[in-house]
Amino acid sequence: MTQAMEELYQERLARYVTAMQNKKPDRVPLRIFAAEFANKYYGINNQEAIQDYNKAFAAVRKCAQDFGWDSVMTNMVAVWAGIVNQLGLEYYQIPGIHLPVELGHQYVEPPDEEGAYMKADEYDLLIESPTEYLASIWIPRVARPIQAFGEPTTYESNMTWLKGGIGMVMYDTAWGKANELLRKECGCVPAIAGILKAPFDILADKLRGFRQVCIDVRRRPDKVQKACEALMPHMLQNALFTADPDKQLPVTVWLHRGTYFSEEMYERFFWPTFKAIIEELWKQSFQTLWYGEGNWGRWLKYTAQLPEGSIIYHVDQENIFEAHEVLGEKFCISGGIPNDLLAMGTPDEVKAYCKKVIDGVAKDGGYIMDASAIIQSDAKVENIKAMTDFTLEYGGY
Amino acid sequence: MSESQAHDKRIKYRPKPGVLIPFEEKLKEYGSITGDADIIRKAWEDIETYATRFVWMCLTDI
Repeated sequence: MTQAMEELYQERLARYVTAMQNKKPDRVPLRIFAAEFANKYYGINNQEAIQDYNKAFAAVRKCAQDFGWDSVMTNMVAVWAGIVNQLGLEYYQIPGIHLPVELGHQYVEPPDEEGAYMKADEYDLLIESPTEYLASIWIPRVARPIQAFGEPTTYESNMTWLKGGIGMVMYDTAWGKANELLRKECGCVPAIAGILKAPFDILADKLRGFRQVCIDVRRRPDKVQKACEALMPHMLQNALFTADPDKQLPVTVWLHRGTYFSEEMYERFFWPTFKAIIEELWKQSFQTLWYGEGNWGRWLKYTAQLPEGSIIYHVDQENIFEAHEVLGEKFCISGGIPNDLLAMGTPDEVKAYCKKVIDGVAKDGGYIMDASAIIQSDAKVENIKAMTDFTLEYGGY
Repeated sequence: MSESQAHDKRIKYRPKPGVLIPFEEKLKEYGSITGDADIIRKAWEDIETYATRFVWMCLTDI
């Protein structure tokens, strides 16, 4: 690594961390979650990206280098299908196998109780011993080759456990190397470290499915609440294990279902355990990037309860100016550049919008430029360039 | 296998976060040891934490 590249990396790291601390750096940082866009820009399809992590990592590096971003998600797909192939996951649709190569991977939700990956009468098993439940019942149910608890084990089942674990180690090692290359070759900072999901989202995404959990909150609300409480320490542990040991990069929570519920539901099922995890992470000096997908504007008053500086609040479909008004004193804000504008607008329209956002929320620092949602293949290169170049020109303090 | 038979075969401990099989269970298997238990504990628990990550990764990441 050249000295110049290391100096560039340190300059970008300082910029990024300062903004995340809700302070004023030298310029508005660019922290871009380029997902399918990176693949398209690099010239690979989604099958290649999801099966070959070296190509996916290289695609992101090319974007980082060519556009000059301060920070980037090392691999937005974040999943290596090598692991999924081995596990034979029932809920996964992969480009090049189940889907056309130009589409992104998909998660299949169970349509009914019969198809649910966790059955309604299994709440107590999950609550009593979550890890045991996952390993003994849930994983065998969703991973085709793996035998269920109590069934005779098979060669294929044993080997699938082994290979799944080996796959995780391979991918984790490769991710670490990809971060080093981002630094050495591009002077670019990895955007995040650490993964978190809200306990309620875990129930809705992968265990009961959304339709079933909508029934559960009415028919067995105490079980839902206790399940969230049982999952909470494990979500915290998972986040801590994957977090940045230097405590500079944020843990990221990908938020899904809270936007669909009444306030009563949000207050009882979604918020308490989720809030507790963020607070504990902060006690241990880890920030959380609140990546709410959809419109989380209804819940700003809850978000405002979190300790000052504990999160970076990412804006998707809610009003960024309102979010800044409610949260801007306490938290850094990121995002808010609409993906449909990046896909269908003109460069001048993109620049005008970026100016509006920077003028509206960034003048005191504590703002990070990014699209509202992860950038897919419909985004125009000229618009991403416009967003980047405008920030570089206009975003100085 | 009947439900009650399956239930009898369930593990008697409840793994805490970051643990699949507690070191205390492994110590029972050894019976008596000749050296420092903490040295063995570290080697055991280093793998425990990462292996637990695999189980939960299936839920959180992929």
